[in-house]
Amino acid sequence: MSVAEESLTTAALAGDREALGELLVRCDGNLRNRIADGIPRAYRPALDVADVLQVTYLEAFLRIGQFQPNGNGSFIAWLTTSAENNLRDALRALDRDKRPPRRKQVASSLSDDSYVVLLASLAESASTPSHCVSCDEAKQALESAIGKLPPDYERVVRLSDLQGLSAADVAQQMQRSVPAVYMLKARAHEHLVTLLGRGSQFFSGGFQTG
Amino acid sequence: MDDSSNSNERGLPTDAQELVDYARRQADCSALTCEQAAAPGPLPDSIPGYDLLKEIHRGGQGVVYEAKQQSTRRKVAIKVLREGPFAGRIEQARFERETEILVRLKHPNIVAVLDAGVTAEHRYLVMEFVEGTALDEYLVGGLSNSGSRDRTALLLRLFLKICEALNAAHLRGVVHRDLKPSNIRIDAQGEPHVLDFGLGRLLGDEESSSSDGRSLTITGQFVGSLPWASPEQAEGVSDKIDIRTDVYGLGLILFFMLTRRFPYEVVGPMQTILETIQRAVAVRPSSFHEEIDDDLDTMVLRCLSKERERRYQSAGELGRDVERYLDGEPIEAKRDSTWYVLRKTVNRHRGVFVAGIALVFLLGVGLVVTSTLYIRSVSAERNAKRRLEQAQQLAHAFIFDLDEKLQKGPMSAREFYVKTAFEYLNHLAGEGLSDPRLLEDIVAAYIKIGDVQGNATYANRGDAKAAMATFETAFSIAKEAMNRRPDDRGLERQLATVYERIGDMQTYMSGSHSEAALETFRLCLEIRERIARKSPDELLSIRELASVLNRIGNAELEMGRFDEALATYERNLAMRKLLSEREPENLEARLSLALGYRRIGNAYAALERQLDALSYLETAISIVDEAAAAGSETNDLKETRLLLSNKIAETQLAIGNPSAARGRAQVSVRTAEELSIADPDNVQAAVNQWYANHYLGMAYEDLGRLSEALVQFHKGVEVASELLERRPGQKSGRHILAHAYESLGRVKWEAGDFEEALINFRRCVEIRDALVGEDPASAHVQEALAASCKSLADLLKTMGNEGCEAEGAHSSRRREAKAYYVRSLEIIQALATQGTLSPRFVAWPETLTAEVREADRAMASSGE
Repeated sequence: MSVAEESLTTAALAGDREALGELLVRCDGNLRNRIADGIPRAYRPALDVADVLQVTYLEAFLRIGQFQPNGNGSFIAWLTTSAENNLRDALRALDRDKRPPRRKQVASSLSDDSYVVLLASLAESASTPSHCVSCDEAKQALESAIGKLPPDYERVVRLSDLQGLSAADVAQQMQRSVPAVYMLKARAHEHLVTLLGRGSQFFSGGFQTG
Repeated sequence: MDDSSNSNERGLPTDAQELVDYARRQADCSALTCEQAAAPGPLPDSIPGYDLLKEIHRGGQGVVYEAKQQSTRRKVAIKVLREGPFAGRIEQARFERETEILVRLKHPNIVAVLDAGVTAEHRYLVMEFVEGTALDEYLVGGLSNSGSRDRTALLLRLFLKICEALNAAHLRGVVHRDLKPSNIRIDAQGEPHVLDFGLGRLLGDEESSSSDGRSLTITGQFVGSLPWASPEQAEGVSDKIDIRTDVYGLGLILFFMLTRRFPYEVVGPMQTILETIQRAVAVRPSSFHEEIDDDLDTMVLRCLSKERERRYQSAGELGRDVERYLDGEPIEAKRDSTWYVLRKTVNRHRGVFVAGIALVFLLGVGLVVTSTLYIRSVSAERNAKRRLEQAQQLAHAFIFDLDEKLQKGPMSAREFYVKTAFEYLNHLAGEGLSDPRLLEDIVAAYIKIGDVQGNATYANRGDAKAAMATFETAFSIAKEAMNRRPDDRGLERQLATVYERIGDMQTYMSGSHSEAALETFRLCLEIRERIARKSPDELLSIRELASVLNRIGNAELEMGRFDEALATYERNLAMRKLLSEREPENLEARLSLALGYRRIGNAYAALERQLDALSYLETAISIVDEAAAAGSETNDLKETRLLLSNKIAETQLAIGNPSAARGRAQVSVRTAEELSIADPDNVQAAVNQWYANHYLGMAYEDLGRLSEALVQFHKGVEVASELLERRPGQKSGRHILAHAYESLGRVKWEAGDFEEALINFRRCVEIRDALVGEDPASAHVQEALAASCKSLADLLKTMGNEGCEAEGAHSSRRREAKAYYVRSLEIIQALATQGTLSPRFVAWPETLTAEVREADRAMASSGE
């Protein structure tokens, strides 16, 4: 790690957002090439490198506290991992319309209340109904958490999860690509789970989905 | 810095600076920005009730101080969150979790929490102060005076205590997740104390997993100390982290204790290390120190398996093996190796073993000598009679007294005894003997040998043809003897058993139940009912009657006669209840009762009365759990639990409850793997393992967790392929393999990997095609082929419509799709004409006809 990069990293970890911004700009060229190479030809008309980078940079601002410096190149490695994961989510989104017919339709015992559906999707790994909360209580917690999300995340959750718009409609309203909508939604859900955290047991162990 | 143009077509900035500024504005508007690490804040001046003496450690989560409690004047350690009131939500939640977990953990080898609280500026945790050194320092200085052998023993005793501490935590549902030598302090008495459960979390708490379980969404964050991470931590999949993660950590620590090294390279860029941890095969500790023996190598490498399922399943299990090793006993990690167990047993009980070998040798020689003497002394009737009795006694000793051990023992031992017994029996049976008791024993012995050779309802060697031949030999001997003595109950009973076995083999070898098998079972039932009428209170008669009723019910069920099956199973259950009431302490009777409930559950499931089915299946598994709670976990019990968990998983999937199905299927996978490790040659265990992986894959698929589904379906293909390697050409193995490819193809398609999906679908069609060729009369096999042709056609149609291939490929895909639709349609129409089409395919002719027309239209419009 060069002295300048090292001091920028230290400052960024210490909360200096200017320093983080400069680090990101410095990494942009390499990252851009790497991501561009990773987009298959057939997907290029639908997916722009900037879509991936934008979500990656937002994540960097939100999660710089979790970065652990580990010598030369560790920041770009961390950022690249994040960008590649975002790219894979975006490519998966593009494949989403080419899904096979389901093996069988899974009946859902949930109501069509979108908050409940969103809660269920956040808590889909739950296996025991140990802490089932009332829908009202859950809605309040969820609404409060959604309000704390970055604007793009909040918007994608409201349009996609709560209003039930298709990815294409959300993309149109947000002036983003469909893959970017999927990326944003995945990140938004991740942050919702973090925000709701342990205090909301229904996310981690209690909400039965079936 | 990149100097690309300023915006893309949606107006999104593309310039690096603009992108970064936009991201920053977004982040600034978020409450989440407080997650950023701030500069280490001012350290606390004081914590109420404590005098801070000095800073002793700085870690990722906070700073640890040596302090003195004012009220007691005792020395304590206080951990203070570095950021104080500015700590992010995640940090704070983590701190609270650590507190909550530690307060609940009380163990002499775990650092105790004494107090916790929040001042105006800082959160803190007061812990027992452990004088001493970290494990890595202790390894350098603390054991320097010990010899190599003593040193290993001392290290292992120390390690055993660490395992016990972890096991205590695991039993409270706590996973440490950050095991490393610096988190283990050794006090002046040489006692280890495990520190810093700061990363531990309650089992099942999935808070940090993403909404759809995707590991890809983790933005490169690594929680824990990198070189000491497990493969699942390196992969970044938080919901894969469980107590086996700690087992891996313990393996690394043991490796380090023995060698002072890592089992792979942990120097370099983070990404490289992460990949190394996930993929590099650990070297044997003995490659660094020759004096480390094979057992220690095995224990360490078992901990360090990349697959969690291949590790010790808990710190307790690992600790028990360490204890065994220290006591000079065989370790569990090698229990599937006959020679290994023999070697260990010989070492420990040399005298007893030698005597045992001598006994077996004498029995073998005695049998040969006695039978030879018997045959040669036909002129001396008295001598012959006495020696006949001796032959019988020896036959009993050899075949039946050892039978229990043979059934439970390793396959190679079974093979040895069976081979010897078989030679002896063939010799004896060829002598034209007429004594009914001896003939009865000979028939029984042939049955036992056939079971071990290839009866699918027993632990067997998978040699179905040999088994069938053996049962046919038994049948001809029994039938001939019955002709001479039609009222002999013993022979009658053996004949019924032979019918039962032949029915089993007819089913097994054809891959499904058939009229022929059903007819054979009914012949058996006739005899069994006759015997039961003669002695209605005899438990054996009731048990045997219940057994053949099971088989008849199974055949009826598979042949689609669901109501008949339900009635047969209810007769069976009534008998199982009676047997269980008569022998409440008999584990086998309890397990049979559980299976009786299971079968009725199966029949209800077939009748699509899923909730009734679940009710019977849950009753069944509760009987198994009660039996397990009352005694030890035998392999029989595990097998029953496996069958039940599989069926419950299947039923939960059918009613749309994949979460519950996942839980059950996970139990199945664990149990199946344990059974498979215990007896790797057991074909039935392998089949059940396939089912377990299959249902778990389906549960993940329904939960939308495709990568995890793929893992399970890949495993299913692996298990099915191994099964076929052992039984090449066997039909049920090929059915399973076809199914496995079909599932894998479906999920590959769902994941967008069309080419791989196509390969797997083609393999499925190929296998089913061959199966139809061999068994053209089976509607079931034909329907499966029609279904796989349709799936393949659907995929080809999708690929033909998509924009990811060259135009020339499209038309080829469309043509091929049409051909498979036509093929599927022809099969279904033929079955409909014969009146053998299952109800679930009734709508298919219409659907397939529409697909064929659509394909024609598409091809016409593109000028093909």
